[in-house]
Amino acid sequence: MNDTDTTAAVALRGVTKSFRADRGLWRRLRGMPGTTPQPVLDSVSLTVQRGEIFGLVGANGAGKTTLLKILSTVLLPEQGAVMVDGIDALAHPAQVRTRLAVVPADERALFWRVSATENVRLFASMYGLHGVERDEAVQQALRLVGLGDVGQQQVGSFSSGMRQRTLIARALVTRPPILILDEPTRSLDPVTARELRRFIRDVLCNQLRATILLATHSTEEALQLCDRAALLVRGRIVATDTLPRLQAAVGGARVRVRVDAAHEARARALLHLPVDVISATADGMVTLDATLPDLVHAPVVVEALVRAGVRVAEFAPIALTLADLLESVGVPRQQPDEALRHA
Amino acid sequence: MRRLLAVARTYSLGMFTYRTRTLVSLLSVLIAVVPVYFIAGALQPLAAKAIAAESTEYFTYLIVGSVASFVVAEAVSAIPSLINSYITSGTLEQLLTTPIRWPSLIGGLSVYGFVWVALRALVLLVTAWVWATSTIAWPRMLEFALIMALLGVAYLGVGLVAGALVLSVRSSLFIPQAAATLSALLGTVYFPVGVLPPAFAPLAGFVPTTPALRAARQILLRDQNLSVVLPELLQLAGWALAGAIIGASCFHLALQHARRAGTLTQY
Repeated sequence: MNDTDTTAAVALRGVTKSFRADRGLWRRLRGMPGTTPQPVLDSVSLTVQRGEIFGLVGANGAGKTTLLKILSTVLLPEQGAVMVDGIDALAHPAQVRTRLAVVPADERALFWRVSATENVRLFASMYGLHGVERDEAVQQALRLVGLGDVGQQQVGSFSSGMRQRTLIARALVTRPPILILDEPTRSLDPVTARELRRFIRDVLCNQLRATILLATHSTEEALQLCDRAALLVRGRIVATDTLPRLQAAVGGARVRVRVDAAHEARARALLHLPVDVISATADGMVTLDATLPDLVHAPVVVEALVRAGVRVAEFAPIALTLADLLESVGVPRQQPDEALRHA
Repeated sequence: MRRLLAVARTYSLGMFTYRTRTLVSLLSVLIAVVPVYFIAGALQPLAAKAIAAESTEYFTYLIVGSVASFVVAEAVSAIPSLINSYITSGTLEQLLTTPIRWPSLIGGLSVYGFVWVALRALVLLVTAWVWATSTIAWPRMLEFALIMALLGVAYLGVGLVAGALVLSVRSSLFIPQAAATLSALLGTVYFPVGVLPPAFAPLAGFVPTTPALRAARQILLRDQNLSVVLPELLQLAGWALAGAIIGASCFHLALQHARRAGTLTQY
């Protein structure tokens, strides 16, 4: 461990973990396929600074949740070092548990047959709060997530969004310096998800100054929330940076261009696109997706298309998707500078 | 202790919401007494001699045995069952991310079950007292409760071992059912050791229910004090100590294993 690891909110060095896909006792004893351990995390190293919102971006099964579980001390790695708030999480897990709180992806982890207040109260007691101090902290946490008026209602009667907020209130009740959010908007509708993201940014980060580790498979979420992110692919971190820089590094800026079908070949040549990227519409236009080094070059490309006599009906940036990011590390795309050179 | 009580409170509040189930469960205890009363009455002439050392009436003999079987059933099955459902829901893992230690967590989750057993046992004893011809020594209730508590701790060890297996391999391997059945068949719940086949009779000494019920019946049905049943009490205390140590060790090791193997939750 170096100095950075002890001053950072979270630092992992060479964390490796493997699981048996099939844990059945009899099948293991008989040596059936799937009973041998498969790697889930492969020498993962990352550092999260204090006050930062750090995203773990990856597809399902990439190892995001496993990594968060190792941080929250409910899972032990086979190799590697884990420091949380300057404490060795493998040597002193009990101390680490007082420094962080976890908001799980699964709302079933709540006690559904008791009120939100009782759920939050239980966690406050677990962290050693009691009496008036605990009751005030519970009310404050519920008010903070907008559940102050419905705290006495059973969690079972809540919507998914309210349950998610209850989970956050439960984690916030002791104001831990580090918050771990595992796919917090997974079961939410788009409007509620946007509200929750705003809450995470405005309240948890800006107001409470918490360090947040957020696992998500949504690049939209990561772009909106995270200061930095690590792209996790099959248990390995393939890139760590700010999202705009990750976007630029892995695939450049993606743009959607709608041109007259008659000019398709010319546009395709200028944008240096492969033949199979096409979507024709009834109005005689075709839609082409292209990749530029960055959006600063967009006007130059549009000007080149117009100068070549191509009728351009639309030229708009495309939001970075996880598929783009994953494709960029697994499948090589055409070189973006080729398109520019032709333009 | 505060953490244990906090878990017990939340879990109990959740269980209190099952009002119909609670009511039906209590009523079923009352109803179950009826056939026991008549069957015990019919068997009284046959059983009287065999149970004479512990009770004058077969009905009360069975009632005290039933109370012990309530305690045993709760002790062996509550923990594995809770662990299983909390692994499925992710609650166990969530609770273990907090500073609570597992003995407080398991203790807190077990309180409601044992209080419920105590309530059902009380209903059973009061009903029996109303119907029985012999008396129940109510002033000895605390001593009786102590014996049942020791029996509960002895079998809690089995529950912890079963819970440890659920943590490790997601199955209790029928240990709770086996323990409860052996307790019922060999532990003098329904009949004294004397009526067991000679090949099985010595095995009764290896079941904690046997000394527990011998002591419990002496105290509650024969109004004896604790000093009279001291050998049984010491034997039971030994079982309780062994159960607690073995159970706690197994559970602790299983928890460590689960943290390595990732079996604290269901993926």
